[in-house]
Amino acid sequence: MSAAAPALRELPARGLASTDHKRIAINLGAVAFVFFVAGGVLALIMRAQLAADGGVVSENVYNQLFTMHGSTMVYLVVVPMALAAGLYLVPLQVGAAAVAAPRLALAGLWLLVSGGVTMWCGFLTSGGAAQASWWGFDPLSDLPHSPGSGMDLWLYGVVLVTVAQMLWAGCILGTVVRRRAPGMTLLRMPVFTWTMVVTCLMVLFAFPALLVALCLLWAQRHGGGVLAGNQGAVAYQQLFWFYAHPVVYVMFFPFLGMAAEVVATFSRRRFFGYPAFVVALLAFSGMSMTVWGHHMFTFGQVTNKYFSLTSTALVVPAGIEYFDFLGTLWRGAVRFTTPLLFALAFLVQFLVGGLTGVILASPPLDYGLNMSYFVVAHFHYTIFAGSAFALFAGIYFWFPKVTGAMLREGLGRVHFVLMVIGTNLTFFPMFILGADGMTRRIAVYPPGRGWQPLNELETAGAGLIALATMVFLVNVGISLRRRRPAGDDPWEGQTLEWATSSPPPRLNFATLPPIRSFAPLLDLREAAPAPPGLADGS
Amino acid sequence: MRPNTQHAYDHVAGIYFPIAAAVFVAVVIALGALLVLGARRRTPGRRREANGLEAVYAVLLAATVGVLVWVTFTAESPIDRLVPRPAVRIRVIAAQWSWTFEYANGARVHAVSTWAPPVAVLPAREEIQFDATSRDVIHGFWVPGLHYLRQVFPGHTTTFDLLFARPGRYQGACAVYCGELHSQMLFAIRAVSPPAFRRWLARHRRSR
Amino acid sequence: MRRAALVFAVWGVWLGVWTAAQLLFLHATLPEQTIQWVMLGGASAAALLTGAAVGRAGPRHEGAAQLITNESVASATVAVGLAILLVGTSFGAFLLMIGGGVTLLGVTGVLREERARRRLGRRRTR
Repeated sequence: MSAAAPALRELPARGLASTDHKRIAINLGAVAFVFFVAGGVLALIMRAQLAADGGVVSENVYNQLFTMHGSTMVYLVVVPMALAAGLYLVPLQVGAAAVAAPRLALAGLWLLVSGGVTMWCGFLTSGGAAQASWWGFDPLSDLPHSPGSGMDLWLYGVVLVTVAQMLWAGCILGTVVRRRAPGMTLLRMPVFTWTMVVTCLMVLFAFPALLVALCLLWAQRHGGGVLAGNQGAVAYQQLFWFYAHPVVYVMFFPFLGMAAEVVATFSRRRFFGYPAFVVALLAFSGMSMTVWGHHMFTFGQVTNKYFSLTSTALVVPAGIEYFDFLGTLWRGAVRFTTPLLFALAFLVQFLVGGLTGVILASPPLDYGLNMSYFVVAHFHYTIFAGSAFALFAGIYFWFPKVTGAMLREGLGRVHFVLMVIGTNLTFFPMFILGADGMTRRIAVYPPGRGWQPLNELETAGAGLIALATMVFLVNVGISLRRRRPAGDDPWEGQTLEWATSSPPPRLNFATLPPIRSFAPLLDLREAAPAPPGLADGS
Repeated sequence: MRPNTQHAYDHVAGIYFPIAAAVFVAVVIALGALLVLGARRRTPGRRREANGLEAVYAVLLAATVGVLVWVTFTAESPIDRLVPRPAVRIRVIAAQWSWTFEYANGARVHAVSTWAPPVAVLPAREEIQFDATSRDVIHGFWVPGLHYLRQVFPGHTTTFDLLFARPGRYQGACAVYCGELHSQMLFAIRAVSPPAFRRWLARHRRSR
Repeated sequence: MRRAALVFAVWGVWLGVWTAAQLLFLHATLPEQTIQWVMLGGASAAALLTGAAVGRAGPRHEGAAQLITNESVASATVAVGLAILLVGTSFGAFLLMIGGGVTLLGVTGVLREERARRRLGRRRTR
């Protein structure tokens, strides 16, 4: 069934203009990873400054560092990675030969590269890179308070990458709507594909608010009078947060889907509670569009109680989703591969972030914790200790499919252990510092508060994360050099991408197996008679 | 009801944090148990979908949300509300990068240098109404000891009530990133007994 | 196809429910909060309209052939050209002209691709 496919390194440079969704996704993933390392280096410099409580960089430079760290991670790394995973996997998972509107997806790749480069060029200007945080909120971001061209470059960069992200979401949704194989009904689409569907809904219907906010900001910087005074400042943040709350769920759902596929595969059973999970995904993603005001509880100018209700209500779909994960493991035959380890860590660590989110959804608590390191810990637990771990689960899981070679398990476990220790060392103490009164976004803190030891610990943790990342890169390098061929289906996968060669041919499938559920390959294995000598409990 | 933000925080936190911890422990234990059992299996066991159980569970989750929201709403209303007759009114002006406090009788506290944050003297055990505004960008009036933050906007006066239940020194900081010297934009409040406050106020009276 | 439209429609209705729920909390005296229900209601309406459009658009291409250009340097060129054009709005007419030129180059390339695709499609169906 598998057709011969060229090895990854033999693909010509023309691959940069290829309309193959797999090529585009790989290139996008690679670009996003480069930005991840760059954004991570900025974080390491920040951590050095905070461990020493000053003396490493000036206040001005520190403000550029955290602005560009946050902007890079959100706009250039995690959202692109999420959509890259969808671009690669969704056509395969629904049995399509290609993504819908592939040239738009390709254009998106180049918009992202252009946008990222534009944003980072801010460091080359005389005023330095943008320094108004990844929110770019006014009046801080308007011309008198952010006079440099670094701010304009940031603005253009964000516009370009946001357009790219919307194009990709359209392509992925278009594929689901119009390019599913015969027999692939909506309720036979894999769990990961459903997480991508709800992600793309949020991208299409929430991201325009950011474009509006940035247009207004551009007009304010190039003429003024648009975002004036208090009304303007509030309006900007209403628009911004209408985008920025859904964006954090865009940075969650695809990775949740990756973890779901990994947990199901390595429990040797289909995902538990599929219909409830699909309903929960739709409900959760819809409600994530209704909670944005919780970022503005401390304004005294928004409807706190409404947003507190909607934010707390997220517990219901989230709880269903966790129940379904546990249900998948129940009576499963568990294999502790590296991808599963990362997926399990995601489940535990994301929970810390999620529960602290419920805490912050209560205004009496938020008044005491907002804008402190408690919030910094909360969102790093959800996005880094959560989603990034699930991303690594996905990378270890699908690397064989994408490249045709297995990643080394031994190095994978070293990577895992270093990441777990480093991540928790870096981010857990931040809860304590925040509760003790340490504000976020400060280059130095008062020396008499006793905050330095924990900051030093956090910096050590960040060093471990860097080390872990290097181990991962070494693993990738070795695995591509001294290839251990993966074959079509090294893990006993359940979904259609495992029914073709590794890597898949240009048009994905030579033939398709019958599609009777959301786990077609598992159906085939369960229907086949068991080999003699194996006790069968099913 | 008094605008006691410390009490509101402590009361709500006393419910939310233990529930969060209990949920975390329960999930970790469940996960651990399932993994231990699963590691022993070579083939997966029989399993049915549990739609009924899941529906009941969803209802329980919704009920929990209802309880949490009720706790939050009842704790929030007293601290969001404005007291009709506060004992003291004070005006706060935030500007890049320090704070100015103006009292009704013309007394004024402001920072002389970045390294000496302004210390406002206020009465303990009495309701104080703050009218805060900004001269330039958004700032954040944060008193961690009172568990209270209010963002301060240009061209707008935001009014809120606070109560310092115990005398003492309360650290304050600008919690909303506001530019280059945001880290230095500190202040403090010295809460003293009401008679001591009145004496201090009389000594510092200033004609406008 | 109709079921796919249903996904958008259901999502849009769900957003509509939460838009309406805001009314239970809004005070008539706070005009700043108009923006809240306009944005959420707008997203709800947009999702419903998209559902309607998807429902109208006809059956999906089950297994039918899809003609795609294998590479499209032109698409990449348009993207980079638009980026230069955008940055040029702040950095001078010189960049604007370069951006415009590159975009034009890319657009003509895309048009050529489209023409070739249509020609190939006509040849196939003959």
